[in-house]
Amino acid sequence: MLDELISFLVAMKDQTGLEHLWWGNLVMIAIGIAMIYLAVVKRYEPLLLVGIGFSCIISNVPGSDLILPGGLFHYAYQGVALLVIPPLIFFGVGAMTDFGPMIANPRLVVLGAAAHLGIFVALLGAKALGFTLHEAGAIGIIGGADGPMAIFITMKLAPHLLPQISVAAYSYMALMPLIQPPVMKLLTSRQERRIVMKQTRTVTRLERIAFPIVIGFIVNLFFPPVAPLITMLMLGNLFKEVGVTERLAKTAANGLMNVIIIILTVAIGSTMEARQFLTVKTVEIVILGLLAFLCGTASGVLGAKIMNLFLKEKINPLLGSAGIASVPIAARVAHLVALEEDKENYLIYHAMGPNLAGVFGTAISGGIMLALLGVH
Amino acid sequence: MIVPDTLQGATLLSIIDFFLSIVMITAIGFVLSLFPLLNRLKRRPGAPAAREPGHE
Repeated sequence: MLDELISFLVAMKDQTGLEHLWWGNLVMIAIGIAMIYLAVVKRYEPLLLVGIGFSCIISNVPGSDLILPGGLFHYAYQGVALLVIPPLIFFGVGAMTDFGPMIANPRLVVLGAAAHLGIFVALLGAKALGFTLHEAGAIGIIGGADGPMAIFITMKLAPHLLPQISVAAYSYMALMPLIQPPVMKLLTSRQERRIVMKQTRTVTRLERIAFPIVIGFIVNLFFPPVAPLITMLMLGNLFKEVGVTERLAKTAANGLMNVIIIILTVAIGSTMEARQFLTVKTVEIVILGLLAFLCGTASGVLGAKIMNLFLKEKINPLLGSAGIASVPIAARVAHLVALEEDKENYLIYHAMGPNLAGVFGTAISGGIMLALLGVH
Repeated sequence: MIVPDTLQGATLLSIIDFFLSIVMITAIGFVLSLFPLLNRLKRRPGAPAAREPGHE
């Protein structure tokens, strides 16, 4: 009788995930809990980290069917893998973004490219560490500080690195208020940080409507590999600016965006299975991602300082750091660092120009990279 | 693949990509600098410039 009971319990145990649980799963579950802690207690990117943390925990429970074909997490991942989700995120972002600062001050647009030197530093670093050129390109794009673009380029170049790259990109974006200021202060003098920007002109409704149409045309003409993202960004913005599709713009910016964030976070977290994630490559990618953010911030500030050599009316070099994309976090960081020096120097509106240009800078760099690597 | 999968290829890709990115984004900046011209389309020849209900 006792033998039968024991064999019954052993058979029961074999049907659970306990048999396959190893220390790596426990480490990843701890990481998932830490993400939820950071989101709830420290308020670091709660919209992203709660979903990622939870699905990271679940995907590290051996035997969970959710990440296997037929499971809901698996289909969420398919949305990312088939490149449906990233363009929809851009659609929502476009519907909630005011491109006025970028249109009003076009000379600052170039900072959106200057701040992307970090992409190439990380790319070269990854190649030197032995990654393939496709993998190095995907790692480099972390320096673009643009989550959907990082996912999009990674799925095209090195889909097996999605968990590491997406987690690194979103983590560093959340940590930008800690990463950027030391570099910005190191490369600028007090006087430079106190430079007050002249008020920009008013952008008319006609210009705001023309903007998404013109940019959509240019991007599809010159950068077809990344056109889906920018096209959807521009469609969302057109809905916002035309003034006759308020319902659609509100849906894109709110309801749809929230649904997409849920699917995206679940998809990313579900790829964080211990055997894939706990590798030396992950550590290397995390370090390269940090290097990319530091170098991107530095090159943006230095780019602004180089511009000042040629401009009669000097610009505040802190604006250069906003060119790293990550809208609107980088612009807010530039604003706050300027406020530390002068309580009445409000840089936020001016910083949004290079910040938004940074989105296009990342898209252009990614598009050229895909073209040079022969990927469509 | 157009660029060889070597460190030299990665360097070449980085230089070309960074340079072209700056050129292209400068071109976008140039196009944006022409945007104020659009406002002239709305004005009738000879008519005074009307105030546009723009917003910052």
